[in-house]
Amino acid sequence: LLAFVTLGLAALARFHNAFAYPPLYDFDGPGHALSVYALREGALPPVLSWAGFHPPLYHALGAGLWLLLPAAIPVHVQLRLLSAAAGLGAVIVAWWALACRAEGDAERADVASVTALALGVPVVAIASGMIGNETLCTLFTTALLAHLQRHSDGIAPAAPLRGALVSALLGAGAAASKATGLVVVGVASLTQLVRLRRTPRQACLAASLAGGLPLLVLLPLQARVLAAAAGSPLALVTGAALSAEMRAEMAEQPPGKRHLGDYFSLPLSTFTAPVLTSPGLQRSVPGLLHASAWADGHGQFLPFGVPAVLRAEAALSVAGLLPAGLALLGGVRLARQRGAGGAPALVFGALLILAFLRYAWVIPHYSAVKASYLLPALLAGLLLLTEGLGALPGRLRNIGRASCVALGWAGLALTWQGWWT
Amino acid sequence: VDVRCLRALLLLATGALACGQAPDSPGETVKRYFACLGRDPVRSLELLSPAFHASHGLRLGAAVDQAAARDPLAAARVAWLSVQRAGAFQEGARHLAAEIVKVSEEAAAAEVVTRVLPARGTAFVQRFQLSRPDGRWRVDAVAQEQVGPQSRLAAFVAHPTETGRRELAEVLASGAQRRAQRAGGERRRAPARPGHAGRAVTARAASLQRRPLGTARSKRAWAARPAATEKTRVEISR
Repeated sequence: LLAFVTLGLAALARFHNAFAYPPLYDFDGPGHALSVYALREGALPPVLSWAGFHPPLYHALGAGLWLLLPAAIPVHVQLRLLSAAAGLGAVIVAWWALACRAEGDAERADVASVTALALGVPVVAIASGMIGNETLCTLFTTALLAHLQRHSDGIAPAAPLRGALVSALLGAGAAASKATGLVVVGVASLTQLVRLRRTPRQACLAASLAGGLPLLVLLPLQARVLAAAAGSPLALVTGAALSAEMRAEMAEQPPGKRHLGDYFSLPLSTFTAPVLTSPGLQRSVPGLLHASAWADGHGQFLPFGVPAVLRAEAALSVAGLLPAGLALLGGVRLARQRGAGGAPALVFGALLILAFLRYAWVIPHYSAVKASYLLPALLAGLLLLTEGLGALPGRLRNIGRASCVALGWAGLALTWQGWWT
Repeated sequence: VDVRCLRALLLLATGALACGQAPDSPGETVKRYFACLGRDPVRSLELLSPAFHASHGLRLGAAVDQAAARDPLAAARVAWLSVQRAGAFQEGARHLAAEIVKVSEEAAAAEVVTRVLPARGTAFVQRFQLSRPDGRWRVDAVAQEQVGPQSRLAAFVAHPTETGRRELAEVLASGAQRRAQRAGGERRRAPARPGHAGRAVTARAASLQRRPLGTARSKRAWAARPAATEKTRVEISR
C-alpha cells in the first residue's frame, strides 16, 4: 500500500515539477529541444549541436507529442512529462520484475519498500523531471533485463526465438534512446547464448537476433554522427568528440586530469555540502557520484546558495549511506547464494559501472561523473537492495523497510520544485 | 492553496493558450511571438524563419561560434533558446505587454507594427517583417524604434540580439560598478549591519541563484559564478 501511495505522490511530484521548473533550465535542454524541433519540421537532428550525437528515439517521441498534445501545454513541459512517464514506467517494470521472483509476503514487502525508495531517490526524481533521454533508455533497459530475468528464472514460457525477438525489440528501443543501450544489447545477446547453449544452432540464431536487430536500427541512425567524427566511436557518447573546439572547452572543466586516487577519495563535503562547488568534490569520483545520487550534486535542479536546501541535501546524502550499505549486504548475500537468479541484471550493472569508471577516466571532467549515467542499472540496484533487506533479521528488517520508504518520501520532498520559497 | 501559485498557474495557462493557437495571420503570429517569449521558447522556433536567426546573431561561446561555421542555423537556434532561460529574461518576459498598432499584408509578405509596454520605462515601437514561404507566416526580421534608456532590458527581452546583449551587459556592468562605489562610500561613512532592505536584496539574489545553462562553458561559469548581486548582469552577458 505504501508503495502505491508513493507511486501516486511521485506521479504528482513529476507533474508539478514539469510545470514549476523554469523553461529550459534542464541539462542540455536547448540541445535536446533543437533535435525535437528538427524532427517536428521533418528534418534530421543537427549533428553538430550540443545534444546532436544522441540517438533520436526520445526526440522523435517528443516531436510526436508536440503534434498530438494540446498546444496549451508548453513544449518543454511535454518533453519533461515524457521523461517522467518513462522514469515512472521504468520503476514500475522493475517493481513487477522483482515481485515476480519474490517468494512470500515478506519478500514482496521488501520489494515494495525498495520501489518506494527508487521513486523518490533524487537521481531518479531529477532525471524524471528534466528534458533528456536517460529515463527512456532506463525504461527499455529495465524492460529488457526483466524479460531476460523471467526467462532465466523459468517464469516465462520457453519459446527461444520469440523471446529473442522480444529482446531484440526492447534492445533496439534502448539503443535508439541512448548509447548506453548498446551495453544491454550485448548482455541480451550473451544471455541468449548461455541460455540455449545446449542447442548451438538456436543459440547462435537467438543471439544474432537479439544483438543484430538493435545494431541494424542504431547504425543508420548514428552513421551521420560517426561520419562527422571521422569514425571515432567516442562520438557516440560525447559531443566533444565531434569538435576540437568543444573538446577544448570541456578541457577547462576541473579536474582536467584523472588520477587513480580520484576513484578512492571521499571528501567530507560529500555529506556536509553535497554540491559541486564544495572542496574536493569536483575531483572525487565516489563523492560526486554519491552527491549526484542523493542530492543535486551538479546544481541542475535545486537552487545553489539556499541554506535550507543545502541542509536538506546534506541530510539526505548522509541517509543515503543506509541504502548503500544495504546494497553491499545484498551483494554479499547474492554472492553466497549461487544460482539465485538475476544474473543478466547484475552482469549489466557490473558492465555499466566499469563503463562509467572508464568514461570518467577518458573524460576527466566533473560533468562526466553523474549518477544518472547509472540509471539503466535500476533493476540491478533494486535487486541488491531487496536482497540486502532480506539479509536483515526480523525487527531490523522492518526498520530497514520503513527507512527505505521514509527516504523515498524525503527525496520526493527535497526535489519538489519551489518548496524553499 | 497559495494565491501566488494560483496566479502563476493562471498566467501560465493564459500565456500557453495564447501561444498555442495556430497562427493563420501575421497579427496572430506576432501575438504568439510575444506569448511564447520566455514561457514556451521551443514553440517559438516554429514562428521564426532562418533569416531571422541569421539576423539576431546571438552566440553562446567559442565552441558554438566554431560550430556555427559548420551549422550556423543550428547554433543560432540553440543560442535563441538558451538566452531565454536566463531568470532575468523570463522575469522580463512576464512583465512585457504588446499591442498591435498596424498590420499591412501583401501576398506572401507582411509588416506588423506593435507598441511594446514594459513594466518599467517608456513604451517603444517594434516592427516585424514576415513572409509565408511554406504556407505559414514566419518572422523574418524585427526592428525597434524609440527605445528609451529605461526600456533597454525590455527591448532586449522583446527582441534579443547579440548587439543588444552586449550593450545591455555594458550598461549593467557600469551600473553595478557605480553601485559598488557608492556602497563603498556609504560603508566608509557609516559601517553598520545590513538592515531589512539589505536582507531582502540578498534573499532575492539568492532566489535568482539557479543554474542557467547546460553547456560545458556554462557549467564552468556556474562553478565559478560571481557574487549573487551581479546575477542579472551575468545572465544577460552570458
